[in-house]
Amino acid sequence: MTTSEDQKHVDFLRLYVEHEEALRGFVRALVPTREDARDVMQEVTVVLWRKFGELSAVEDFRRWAFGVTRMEALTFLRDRARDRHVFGDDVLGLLADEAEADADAFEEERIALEECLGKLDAVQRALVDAAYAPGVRIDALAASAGRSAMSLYKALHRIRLALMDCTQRVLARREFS
Amino acid sequence: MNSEQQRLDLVRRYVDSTSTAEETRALENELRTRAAFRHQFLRYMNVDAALGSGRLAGVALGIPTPVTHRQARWLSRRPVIAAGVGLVFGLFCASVTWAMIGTRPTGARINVPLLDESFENPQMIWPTGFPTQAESWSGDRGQIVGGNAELTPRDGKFMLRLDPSEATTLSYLDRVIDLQSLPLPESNEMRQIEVTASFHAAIPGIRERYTLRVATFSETPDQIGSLWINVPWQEMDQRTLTLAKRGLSTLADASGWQTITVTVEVPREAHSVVISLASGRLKNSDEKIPHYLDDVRARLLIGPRATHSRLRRL
Repeated sequence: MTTSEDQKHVDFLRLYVEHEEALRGFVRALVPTREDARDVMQEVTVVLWRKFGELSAVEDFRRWAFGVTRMEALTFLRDRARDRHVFGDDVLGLLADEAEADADAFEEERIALEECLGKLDAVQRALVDAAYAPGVRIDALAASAGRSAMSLYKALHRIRLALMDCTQRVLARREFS
Repeated sequence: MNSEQQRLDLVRRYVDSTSTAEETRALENELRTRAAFRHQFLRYMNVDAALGSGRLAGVALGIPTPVTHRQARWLSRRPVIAAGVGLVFGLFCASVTWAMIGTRPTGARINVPLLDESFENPQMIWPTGFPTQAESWSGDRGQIVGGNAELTPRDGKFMLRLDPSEATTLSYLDRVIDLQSLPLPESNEMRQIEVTASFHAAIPGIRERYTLRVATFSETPDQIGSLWINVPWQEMDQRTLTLAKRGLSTLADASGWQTITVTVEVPREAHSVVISLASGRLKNSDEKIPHYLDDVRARLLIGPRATHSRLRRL
């Protein structure tokens, strides 16, 4: 690898790491499952690196990366157009536009989420950690806990809503700090 | 579908991959037609993605993790982007003023007042819908009213009472300003419009939402009205040259006038600017009430291009 290629690699990694979470959230909003989102993000990472040389200015990385990510996600979904859980193109377009436009606000919420996770009680924390661990199936988790899968789904839903409320409160407080 | 709970249940089943095809179509239809719900859905998915990313693993147990994003780093980005998003809560029992300051020109060479509206004409009436001409208000129904024992106008003796909209969560009041005769910046300068507006609920101590949007368009004022017919802001956002919007959601203990300021860059090719004020309750299920608007000001600033952006409480 030449020095310029080294530098290109460093530049890419720096920019990618900085924007990875925003891109991941963007993809998650468009595809039905977390597994699908992981698959799309893998492909996005490869395509971003492959096309990185086409980027004219690092200041444009975010807009460019969102554009590439959007294309990859829509291509992935187009291949699965018969999947009954894939939204129509018009709704995907609306979601993609708004997810990109509000990416900064969502980033703020993710930062606030770190504080909010610390406010969950022990049972909620354990459930989040277990349910979001890689490869975990909720039905298997429920069976091992002696609960129904539906009860875990609902518990996780309540936690997500509580976290959404909490992030708003944290952001409000930070505005005054 | 009327219940927010029902809509959130659809989201839950979609995220858990337990929804039927009919439920997915119902969710899709709600996302297509309800902008506020679409935003809620995106926030929900944002939380789900963050939890699933692994980056937060250990945070819940109090284990320190590297923070890869500095707080409020987004405020240092391009002014249009920085000004284009945001959520602020009014927390205190006193009037507060919020400003989204972009890369404001330092030492403005030109400072032109464009609008100084304190709604002092009790006979003022305005058409419903989007303005059909520049320099006049249009929007949802309301009335110019004086102060009372519980509420004093922000400026002058009168204020505008904006009645709740039957059709939408928020009620709107819009105005178009013609930019065509206004001065242009030199090559090393930037041109901006700063808009300030004050909001107040008819009932103190409730949660509500106010928004202030300022957008520039290449269309002239007489062209822009036809663009707007039956088109929501979410679609118009895509047609703007530049856009600044601030949302302010008050908490239950907020009282007093809430003032929002936004600043938008005005490109040379912009021929008109649209100012849009909106107010309403946070949830569709909340009882709709009137809101008051007052002291809406706009000014054109031209000066040397600066390099920093920031959000500040005034």
